[in-house]
Amino acid sequence: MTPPSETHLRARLAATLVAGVAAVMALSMGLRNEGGVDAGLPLYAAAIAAIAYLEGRRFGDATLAFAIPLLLVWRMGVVDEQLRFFLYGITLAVTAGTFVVRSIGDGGRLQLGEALVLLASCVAAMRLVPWSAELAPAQAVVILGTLILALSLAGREGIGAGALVACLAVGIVTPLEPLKATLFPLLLASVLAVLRGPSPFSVAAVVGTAVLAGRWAWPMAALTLASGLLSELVEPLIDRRRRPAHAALAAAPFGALPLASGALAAFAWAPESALRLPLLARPARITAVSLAAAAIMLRPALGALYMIAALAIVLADDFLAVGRQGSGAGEKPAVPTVAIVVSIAMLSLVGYSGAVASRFPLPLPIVQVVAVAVVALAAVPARRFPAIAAAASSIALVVAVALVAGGGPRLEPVDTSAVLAAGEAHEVDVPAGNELRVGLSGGNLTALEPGTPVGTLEAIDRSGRVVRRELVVGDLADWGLGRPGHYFAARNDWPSSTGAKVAEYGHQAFFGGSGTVEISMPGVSRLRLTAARSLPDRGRLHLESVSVVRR
Amino acid sequence: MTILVSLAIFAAATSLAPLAIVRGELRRRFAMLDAGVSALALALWLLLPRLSVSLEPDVALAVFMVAKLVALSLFLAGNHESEELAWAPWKGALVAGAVYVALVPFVLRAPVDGDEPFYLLVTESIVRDGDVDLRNQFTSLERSATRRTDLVPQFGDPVGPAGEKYSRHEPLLSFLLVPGYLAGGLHGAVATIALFAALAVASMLLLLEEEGVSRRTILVVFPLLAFGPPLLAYATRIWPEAPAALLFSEALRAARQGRRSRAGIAIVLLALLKLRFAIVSVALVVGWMLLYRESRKKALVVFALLAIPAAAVLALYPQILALRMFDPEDVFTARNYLQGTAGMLVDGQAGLLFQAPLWLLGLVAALRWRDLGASAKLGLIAAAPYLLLLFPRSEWHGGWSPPLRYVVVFLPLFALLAAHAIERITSRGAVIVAAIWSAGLTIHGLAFPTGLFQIATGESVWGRWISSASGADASRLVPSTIRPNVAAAVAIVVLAALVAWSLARRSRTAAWRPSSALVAAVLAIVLTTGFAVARRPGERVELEDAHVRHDGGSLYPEEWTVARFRFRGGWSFGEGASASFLFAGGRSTLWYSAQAPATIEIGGRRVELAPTGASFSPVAIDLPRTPGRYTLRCVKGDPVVDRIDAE
Repeated sequence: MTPPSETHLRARLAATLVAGVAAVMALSMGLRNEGGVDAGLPLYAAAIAAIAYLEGRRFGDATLAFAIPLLLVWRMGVVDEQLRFFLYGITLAVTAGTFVVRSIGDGGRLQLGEALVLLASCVAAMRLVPWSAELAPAQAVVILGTLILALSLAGREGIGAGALVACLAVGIVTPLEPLKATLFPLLLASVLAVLRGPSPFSVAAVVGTAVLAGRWAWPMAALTLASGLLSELVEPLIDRRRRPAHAALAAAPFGALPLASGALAAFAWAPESALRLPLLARPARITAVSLAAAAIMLRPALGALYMIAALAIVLADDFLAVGRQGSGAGEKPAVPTVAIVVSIAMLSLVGYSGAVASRFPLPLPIVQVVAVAVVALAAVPARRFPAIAAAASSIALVVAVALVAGGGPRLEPVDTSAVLAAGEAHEVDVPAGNELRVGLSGGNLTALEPGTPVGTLEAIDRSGRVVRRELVVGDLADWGLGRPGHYFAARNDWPSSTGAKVAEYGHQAFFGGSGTVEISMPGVSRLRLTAARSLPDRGRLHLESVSVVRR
Repeated sequence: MTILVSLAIFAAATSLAPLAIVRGELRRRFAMLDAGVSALALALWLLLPRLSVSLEPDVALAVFMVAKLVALSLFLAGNHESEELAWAPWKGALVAGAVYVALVPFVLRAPVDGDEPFYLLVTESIVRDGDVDLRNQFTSLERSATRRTDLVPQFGDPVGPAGEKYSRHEPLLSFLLVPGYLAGGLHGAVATIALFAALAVASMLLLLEEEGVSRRTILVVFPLLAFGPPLLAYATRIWPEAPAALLFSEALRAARQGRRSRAGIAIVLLALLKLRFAIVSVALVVGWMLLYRESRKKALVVFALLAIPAAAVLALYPQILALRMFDPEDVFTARNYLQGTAGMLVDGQAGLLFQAPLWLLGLVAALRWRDLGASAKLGLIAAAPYLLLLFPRSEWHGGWSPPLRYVVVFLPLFALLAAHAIERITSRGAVIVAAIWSAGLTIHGLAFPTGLFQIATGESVWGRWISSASGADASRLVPSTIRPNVAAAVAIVVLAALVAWSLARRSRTAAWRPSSALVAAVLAIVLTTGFAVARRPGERVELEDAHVRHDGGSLYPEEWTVARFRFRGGWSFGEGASASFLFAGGRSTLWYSAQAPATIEIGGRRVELAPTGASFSPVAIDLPRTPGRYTLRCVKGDPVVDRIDAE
């Protein structure tokens, strides 16, 4: 009996995986009325099936297919809806991460076809739930743009880990509104084409895409073209002996503390990229540095996009100084550990992908994002000191957990709320205490820059003494700051302290701009909130909650 | 604070101990992987509150622990061919021991239960009083390290001529706990068990090596053996099972190597550890003589020499011979054998299929006698009489203890068989399914330590979980021989068919071996179909089951009733109490017991229940032929309702 052909085996594998997905669809149809992210279960199963197919093709056995019945176990057995959504995401993330790690470990790179299927599956899972026919064309542009970006980053041997996670980040973060913003992946692809070697076609692509995309894209195009020109002019003038120093100095914008949280958060996604800067060829290095510098100055949504673009250049192996095929002599490109870890965490949030997009890389306060990066960065000394690296990561983990789990004080809520127009005030009596925690947000305030005064908070004791605290954008933000369609144009910054939880699900998920402000006064008995007279006509200041802090 | 301490110790143990197994480039890669897993776990944990996902800290920690163990296991198995993998059985045991010790504070969040506190009471008596009389221990429980002030002598505890209160448990284990108890009280005692468990892992890994099992297979078996059920549960609890596994393994190794003295010591200690292991000891000697004929005479001499001190110990401590006689109902009938044997294989709460699937896969290898190594054959011979005495007993499932209690001693045998099956018989997909299931069991056991102790109602943890989540009667689809159901019969038939198919295969070739994708697809279809069936109203409803929504009343008999599985269970209704459930309807039979006349309402029908005394009797009820949710309400009296069957 002749053994089955390769084509026959692949067809059998595909048919088997389709059967598994069909089972998931059958279960979903039987539970049709239950809605939410559960409606996307067949899509998640299809994404996993696609990844399992890639694994079967490459390694001969599709063991990742077992993630499909695991989805069913979550669907049947987990009552808590939010936990269920979370488990769907973890299942998808671990599946994708396992395949990537295994493939990169096997050959150093993913084949182009594998990368395209992987990216399409993951980005589709993140973007297409809940399904909206109106948004379908925009979603298709984003997905197609991401795939074109992957094509532009792929070399002859395939696509490396750094480039892969950069493409994933672009696919997840690209906004749908305004419609022109969906051209971000194409714009980045054309920028990379210019960096590979300027040609009339690539220059025209950058210019044309930037014109179509709108004003937000013009600085990116301009910086790219100017960097290429500058590199050509400066190269002959720089002393060869001083090049390493110049290269190291280029890391300054990446290491400096950016003023905008959007850019800083994006940088926390791949902090080890600063180590790769000196290895880059000059044009790529100048472009990356200038884009990072621009990210600092732009509004948060754009800052994140520009920083991601800068990091995409840094993470792609093809822009390293010696040749385009890979590493410099004796230098092995570092696998972007933090970026991979955070990317897997991002994929875990497939049920809240919209919230990830506006709070890239993770919808956490920046301190916690940095904590995750620190634990992952503990792997950096592993090359020479693996025991120290292992110990350091454990210590960092325990310290981080201890600090977070140390928790906060007990809060005694006060029943009050208010919506204030410009100049209006609201007073409320509070139980006796020494410290108050106030939850605030804004309405129709997205156009206000960080630091703009929005109101005043006053704590008053029984003898009439007053402690006053000015409120600015940064203490709070517009409530709908993170809502898809609002975030891109918003000028607010995320509040420095917030207890906001996610609303909606899928690509429509978002975090509100509520912030928490604490005001201390021994013996406080009354709280007064006054909205600034300078608030816009339609602007509002929302008092969401007041709690007495009991330590 | 306990959670944080457990996290710190566990993180350190799983990050540093494995460095002894890897070197060079593998060390670097392991350190990177370890840091990545830690960072990812931290990121996900921080995200939970923002997503309104409430997860208990101990559940989160249990998931983290298993994630690290899975990452380590995959790393080792994936690099089995690497020259930089400095694998050795004792290094694997070092890692296992570090994990067990790290788990001690975590597991001890729950109070010691079952037989555990009584072993420790004897240890305390030895240390403080120099005897094994527990009278003063029972009167001063507030000073005991057991933290249990509710302890009373167990059923069957012998009483001395002067009123002494002895434990029915053999004192050897309690003696062994003395050093650890002196060093660290309860934690020290449990750490001693952890040490024995680690030694058992070392011994079993050495046994596998000596039997010629490949490194790849050993690295696949190792994590499931050391960190999976049932050993993990008994590695951090005061039971004799983990030390027994060590002794059994050493006996097999010594017999294979012809080291008679060492084998003799292990065999005698096994019998002294727990009297029920005596039959294993005897069978080991018999098997040894059968398989290694040339040493028969000498073996008899050594056995006789070692038996003398053992007999002396028994003479000095006759209370350890307080055997519980078989109850009249525990007779050697075919029905009992079928129930116990099938249960040990497929029962949802107490069988290998659901509690240790890899060992069940290994049993297939046992049917290929000729292909087995000498140690495996000796192990099977040694286990057979013990199992023949165990299966027909009503507590074959272990009673109030973590699952598979009575067969943990045979872990070395299971490891041998599983290794043989992995190398020659079992498909990769089946091993993966077993591994994923085992990981889930480990998470459950760590996160819910008290959940390992289940009253034997016939329901299983899985059935109760799905039933509670969906409101459907999923328990009827989980095989049970404690309360025999159709699912158990189907499972046995399917298992037999799979075994027959497996035996019929000449060899494991690509043409015969089912792919992982196929196994996964079949599993998905089975789950979908099963869930659809579970959501349909059933034709039998057990009133004590999880899917029944109770409003008032109580479980009958009480949850903590000793040997509760001997009683017919149900739900005790008082006036006004009710229960609702999905049911097929139509002509039905209700089984109940009532001391006095009672009245119930169900499906719009009022039913008068005549007194039955203590026994259960049926009453016919004509319900509407409409499948759906029915509510049974007690109008008068205090009946106990067992179940309702549709005709």
